[in-house]
Amino acid sequence: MVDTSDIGFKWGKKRGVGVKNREIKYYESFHFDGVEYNLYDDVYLYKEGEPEPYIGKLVRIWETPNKTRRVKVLWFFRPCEIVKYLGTEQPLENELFLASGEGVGLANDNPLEAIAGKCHIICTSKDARNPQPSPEELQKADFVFSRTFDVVEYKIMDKIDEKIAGTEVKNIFNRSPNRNGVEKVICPDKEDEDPHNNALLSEAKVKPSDDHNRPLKKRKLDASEILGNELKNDEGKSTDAVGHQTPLQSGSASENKFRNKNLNESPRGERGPFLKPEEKLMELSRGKLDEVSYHQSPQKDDKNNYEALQAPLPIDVDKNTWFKEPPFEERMQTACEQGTLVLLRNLDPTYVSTEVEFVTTIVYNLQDIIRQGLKEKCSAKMLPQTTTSSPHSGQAFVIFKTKEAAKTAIKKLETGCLVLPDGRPLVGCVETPCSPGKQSTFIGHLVISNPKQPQTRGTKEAVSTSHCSQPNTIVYDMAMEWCLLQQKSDFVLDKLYKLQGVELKKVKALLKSK
Amino acid sequence: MASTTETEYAAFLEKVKRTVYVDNLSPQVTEPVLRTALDQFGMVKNIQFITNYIEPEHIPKHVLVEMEDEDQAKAIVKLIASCPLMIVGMPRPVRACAAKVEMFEDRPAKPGRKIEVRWLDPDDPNFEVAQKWKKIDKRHAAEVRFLLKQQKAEEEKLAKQQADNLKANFAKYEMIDAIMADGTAARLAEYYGLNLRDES
Repeated sequence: MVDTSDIGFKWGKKRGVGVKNREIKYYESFHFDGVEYNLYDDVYLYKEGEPEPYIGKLVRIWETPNKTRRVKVLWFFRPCEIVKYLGTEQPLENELFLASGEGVGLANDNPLEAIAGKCHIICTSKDARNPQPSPEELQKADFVFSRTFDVVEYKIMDKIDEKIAGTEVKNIFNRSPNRNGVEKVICPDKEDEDPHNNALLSEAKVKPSDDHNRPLKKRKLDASEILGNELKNDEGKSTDAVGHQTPLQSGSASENKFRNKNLNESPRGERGPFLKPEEKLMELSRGKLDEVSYHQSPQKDDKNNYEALQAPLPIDVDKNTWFKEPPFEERMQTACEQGTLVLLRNLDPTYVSTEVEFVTTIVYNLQDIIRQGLKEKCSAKMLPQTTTSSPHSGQAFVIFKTKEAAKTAIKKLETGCLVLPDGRPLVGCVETPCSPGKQSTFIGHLVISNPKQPQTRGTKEAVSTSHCSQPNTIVYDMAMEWCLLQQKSDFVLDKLYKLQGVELKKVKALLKSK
Repeated sequence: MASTTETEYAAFLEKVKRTVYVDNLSPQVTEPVLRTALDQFGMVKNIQFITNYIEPEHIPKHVLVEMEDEDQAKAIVKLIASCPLMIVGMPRPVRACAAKVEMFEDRPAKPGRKIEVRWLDPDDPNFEVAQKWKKIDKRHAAEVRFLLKQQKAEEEKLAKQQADNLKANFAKYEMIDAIMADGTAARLAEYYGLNLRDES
């Protein structure tokens, strides 16, 4: 049925009519705003007042007897929407979680007009039935997903259920090239709750004009959370909770955003889930890239004419000598004084000390072979990564035998280019390690100093023990300020590393093209 | 031989999963302190401070805490994320996240990896690119250093602000205490006909 009253909209293939109500017409595709949508396509759904559109999968398309166009959408969750339940999971930058389980927040009926555009999502599940995406497809994808989020248990599952919201798993996986489109089914699944009833129900309770262009996305919350959130209704912009609930029954529900502004959710250690989707500058996550480069790098240079120097499996040959020597820290200090300490940068962060030692042997030997014909081992220490260190560039301290050798090595690395398997050139420089001097004060720890009175027992104990602070104290408020600052810092640092990553990627692309 | 390194590496990966990275620690935190602090949430198996070789000295201490199993590690991360935990000092809380392989100083090498390194010929077309890359790396390092410095400044600012507030509050309470103690409050109450005693 073609609706001519609406420019920019056209129904496509018809699928069937309702079982109970024959006036309901189901469709497999439609044209909207110049884009063709098919059943099981992934779409963005616009919602007023939301900075980011919702993302969902069209699992049913139909027209009600009074000619309203509806779609049933199975939701995808962005990591930032389920932050609270992520725990230690670190989702990929462009990862989504498919809703699963039976409950509120799984899927909703929405007016078709709420669709804002197509979204390209690739299923990266390793399931045998899932046609595996090609690297190009992955590059092109806006998002990927391989895990689901159970809306009842609030848990992330690795498995995709056989059926979610009445949709068979094969329609959730990627489409195989030969099975384009949707399988022919005359009627929508009967065991599913009556879609038209549902639609009518929501139509009756929600004025059509009210929810026009606005998807209803409701998610379940704990009762306590709802209570808490109702108070804070309309307040925040924090994106840290699942808590946007729009109860179906209230007419203006979609306008009410219950946002959980409780800061106690947010001070999380990891940065991952706070990635804003707009930052999906890199199509592939960093983790993925690393993996790929790891797998490919050994063979990459094979075709090269230059003689490749291969590292043997790093074996702790020197284990015995290692223990006889003073700890690296001490030797490092001495080396620094003697000028034999060199900092190597731009290493692969996954390298270990022994591997760096090998790399350095090459720097060292090449110049030494000419001079003395000597092969000597130097010792290296790969610096451990912390949350603030760069994910792009690993660092290592190397102690050379002589000052001369250290100088030459730096110079050689400066004028020449020693490249690692993935094409990255090594950088060497002089750097003073931080002295292990005792530091007694810590920024952010406050002590009340009262010369008149000795510290009361209470304050003394508070300082010397560890405790979780309760939300009704001044300390808690102050702690929140620190959490906020921490989060801001993390975000900025993350952003910087991401921009740097983009820049490095550009350089890498240059490498390959030549 | 190969299989032993592989099993060793697998065991190491398991250990990584069991481990929590704890950050923002005061330099006064020692192993026993940390152990008591985290023992209330699970069994602490091992504590290993990450040596700070190069980062500016102001960077807080960080530590890797190995728990009995992965669940305990996850629980601790979750807990510290949900309510601020303070160890040896207030009010700046510690933070925790799952440990990563690269954080371990003495980690075993990934088995089966071969590293090929070579010097580029100056005539190689990639030579220029590599030179450029080196420059970029240097700039990046400088950028990060600058940013961390900025962040330290911000931390100091916040600490100072909080310290000032605390001092002011403390002075206020001291003053109240003092006038209560020397009878000034009582005299004033009498003068204005107020009842100071809280008898409700």
